[in-house]
Amino acid sequence: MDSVRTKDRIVRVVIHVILIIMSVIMIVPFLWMALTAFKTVAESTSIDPFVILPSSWKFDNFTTVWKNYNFLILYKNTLLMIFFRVLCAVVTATMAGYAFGRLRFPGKNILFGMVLVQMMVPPQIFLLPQYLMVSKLRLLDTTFALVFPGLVSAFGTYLMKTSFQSLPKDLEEAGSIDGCNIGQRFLLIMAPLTRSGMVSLGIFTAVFGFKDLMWPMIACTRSDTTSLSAALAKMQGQFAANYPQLMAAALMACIPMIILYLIFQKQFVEGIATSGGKL
Amino acid sequence: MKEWLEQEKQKLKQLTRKQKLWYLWDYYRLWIIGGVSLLLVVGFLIGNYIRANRENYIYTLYVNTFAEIGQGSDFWQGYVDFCGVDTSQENVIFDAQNYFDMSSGSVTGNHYYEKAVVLIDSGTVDAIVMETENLALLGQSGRLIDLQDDRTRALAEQYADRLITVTHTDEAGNTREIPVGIDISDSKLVSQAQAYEDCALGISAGAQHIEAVGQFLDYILQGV
Repeated sequence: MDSVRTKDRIVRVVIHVILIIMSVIMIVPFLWMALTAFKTVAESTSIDPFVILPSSWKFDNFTTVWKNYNFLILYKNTLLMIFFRVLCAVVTATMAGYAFGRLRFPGKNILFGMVLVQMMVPPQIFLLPQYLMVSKLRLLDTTFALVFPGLVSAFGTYLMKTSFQSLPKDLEEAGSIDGCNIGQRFLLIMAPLTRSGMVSLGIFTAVFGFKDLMWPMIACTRSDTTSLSAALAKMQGQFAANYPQLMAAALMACIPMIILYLIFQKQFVEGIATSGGKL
Repeated sequence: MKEWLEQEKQKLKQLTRKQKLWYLWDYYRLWIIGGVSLLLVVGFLIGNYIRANRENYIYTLYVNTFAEIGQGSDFWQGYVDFCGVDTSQENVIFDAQNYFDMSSGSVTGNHYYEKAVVLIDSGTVDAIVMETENLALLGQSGRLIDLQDDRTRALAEQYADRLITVTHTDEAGNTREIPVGIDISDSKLVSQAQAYEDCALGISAGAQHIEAVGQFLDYILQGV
């Protein structure tokens, strides 16, 4: 009995050691970014592995970056982009998911196949047509341009379809017997029951929107209309040798996502667990 | 529909103003929110359209320069003054944050390269300035105009001693030299801005402002 307990304990210790090592590996780049943001250029490029903490904590990097790049506008653009992308993706994917998951109509399988194809081809394929559409509408360098690729979501449609399919038919039938029309059944009975799916989709859309670099770089080249990720990419060129300023900007750019994560921590974890996706 | 409208009118007649508002909110909340949202979206789109309604005078893409020659720089201002462009009416875009190397063989997946491809293929970019070798490799991909094309023949003749060519082999095995770029390495303005050591200018295959590119060449090669 004792030997079993000892074995259990050893296994637990080994697991914990592995987990701690993995956690350190995950957190080191973030810590490096945070600490470098407070260093001088010389310290940041020093190859002495023992220079981990800055000799004096410099906040100038933050103020310089804040002055050079209007971070308030970048925050505003990014948050508006995330808000509208989440709103549009959840609304359209929920409606499409309901149609594909619960309704019968001619051509349903072909149409759903077309949705799936979008998930199978590289996203770069869509860049040119999307750019041409926004360009012809004369909406480049606007918030709408940032939101545009997130208006609909193939992944979201698939996710919501599976959410609707997992609900029992009886609920909808009960609604029909009580006189609900199709819109009422969708809005009042079925949609509220897929709340967890919507939250997962919202979180995925928000994270993908925040990480989206390619589209804002193409569609919003002006510094007052672009997003945080694209502005950071520009800084990488401009401050090629100034890592502290680059890291200060990166740290400031992380703030909205850190706040979002702290608020929706439970939903983030649930979202990954229920949808099987990775962020 | 008419019957329903009549019924609703009758119901509302019997109510006070406050009760009417509550009734409408209670029964038509989703329609009201939907309608207001739709109006806001339409207003937002129109507002954006009006604000962004400006044509490009020129769109120049600079690749692999760490010099500040983008919009608002002295280099940019010099071109605006040289051409006398009213920037409140037309955009003069100098996009100087692009980094890719065609000779590395791994440009696929490079966001800057993919961005350049989208902008070139959509006909947005007019001119591309990059290292000579890099430009020649981009020219091989067919994204730059053959300078002997009708639209650019005058420029090819004017800068005949500066042409950068690539060798093209057709299906029959015939090879010919195609001019795809104009060497601007000796430009004083480029040297002043410390933008490149050697560089050349190519014109996008779908360029829409070739006259402005000609002016750019006049501007950049002043006094050479």
